[in-house]
Amino acid sequence: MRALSIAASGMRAQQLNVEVISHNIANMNTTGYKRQRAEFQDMLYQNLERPGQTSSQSGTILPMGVQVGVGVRADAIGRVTTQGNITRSDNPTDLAISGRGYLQVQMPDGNTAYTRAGNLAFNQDGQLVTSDGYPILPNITVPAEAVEVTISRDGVVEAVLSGQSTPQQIGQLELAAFVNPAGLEAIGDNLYLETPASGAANTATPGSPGLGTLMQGFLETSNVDSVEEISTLIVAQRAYEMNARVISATDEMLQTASQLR
Amino acid sequence: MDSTMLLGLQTQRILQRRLDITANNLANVNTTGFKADALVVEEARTPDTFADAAPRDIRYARDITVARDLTQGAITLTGNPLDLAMEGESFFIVRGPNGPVYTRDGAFTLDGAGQLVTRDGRPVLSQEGSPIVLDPQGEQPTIDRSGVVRVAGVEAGRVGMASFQRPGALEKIGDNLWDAAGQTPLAGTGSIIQGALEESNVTAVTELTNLIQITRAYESAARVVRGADDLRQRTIERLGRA
Repeated sequence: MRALSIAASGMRAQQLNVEVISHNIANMNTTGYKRQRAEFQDMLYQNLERPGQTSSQSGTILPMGVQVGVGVRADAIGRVTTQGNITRSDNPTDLAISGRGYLQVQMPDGNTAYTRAGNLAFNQDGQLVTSDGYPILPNITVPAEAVEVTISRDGVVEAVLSGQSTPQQIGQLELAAFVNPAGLEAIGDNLYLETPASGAANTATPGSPGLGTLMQGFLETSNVDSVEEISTLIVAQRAYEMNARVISATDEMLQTASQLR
Repeated sequence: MDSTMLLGLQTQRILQRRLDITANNLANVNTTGFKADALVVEEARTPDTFADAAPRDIRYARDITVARDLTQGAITLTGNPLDLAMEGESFFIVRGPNGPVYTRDGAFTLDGAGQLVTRDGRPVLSQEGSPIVLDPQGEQPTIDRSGVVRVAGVEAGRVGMASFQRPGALEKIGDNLWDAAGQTPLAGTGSIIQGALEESNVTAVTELTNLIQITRAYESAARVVRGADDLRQRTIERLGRA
């Protein structure tokens, strides 16, 4: 019977759904995390009776055939790239991006990765780095004698050096935007890589048309909505149960059939 | 075999198909834009049995077609600006391998070139059949109820809508897509809601009730077959003795 494998495909799909939901809930407090969503499609259909067959002796023709679908499959796990909440952290090296755009990160292998997690810090050489120690591009190095560092909404980094009263510009941060941010490849550690689906990165200073601005002393929280996740979890669990019911019903019918004699 | 047994077996065959369809509905209870199917059964007139002196009228059940429940699925807000829900009887137009195909699943995205595509990368078409391309540098697009896409207030295209005289006769081809099956699409009359998706219209209660009904009907059909078999066995025994 097809019903067994159809219901199994349904259970598999719901299992994946629960996995995605649990990943979202696990990352509820991850800075800059964007929630994911499992998307499903019906699988192909089998034509058991072709449309157009003669349906009676008087020659009427079937307007439609008998099409039986063979289940469901997950076709994508999409990322919902809406803005997360912006909370105050008062840490001068915390940056929240308000609007579109990603910070560029220099990876050890020479590639550029992208991130929305603005919990940055200075390393021992005074270089602006992510919480994992990867340098931010373009490189910003703060002189050792700096007392205070300010980052403006459009990315200008200024430092007040000891013994001076006027701040000096020491660098300019840039943001990268993508046509389809949902197409970026997540590599963990809050980092993303460019793919053909995301399109090429367009870098410009924050606040340029189509780009967000930077907010010093703030962080972007994840955009996971716990109520929404829990309600999707309930739906997924019930759908899983219903598919399991189909399996036991099919089993019952097969048992009846095997007891025919 | 006598016709009682065949009647029972035919009923079981149809019940298995009904089970397959119910299973597929339940498997797709979470599939965006999915429309539930149901098997239509009619009695098929067959020639009278002739072994008997007074022929009786035997009618088999026969599955003729699959009916589609095209009622509107629930609309849930997702907040994603490229999620579109279709309200009404229209379909989105999508470029398929051989000409346009249709879908109710409006979870769209942009590809690397700024083209509006379905999640498996098929371009979404306008009424005239051209893809919709958005400015990669531009702001988030807004899409109004008639499908007009605007970026920063400037019209950038229009999401096409198609409706059909007999929407129930469209053919499902999987991947949430429908084939026109020879019908000419008419201009759509639906309205589009941005930031929302249409859920599957499968009602779990109905499907689960069907499931119970199918299992029980299958058992009683099996009993008919067994009864006919018992009867025949007894006949053979009795005739053997005589």
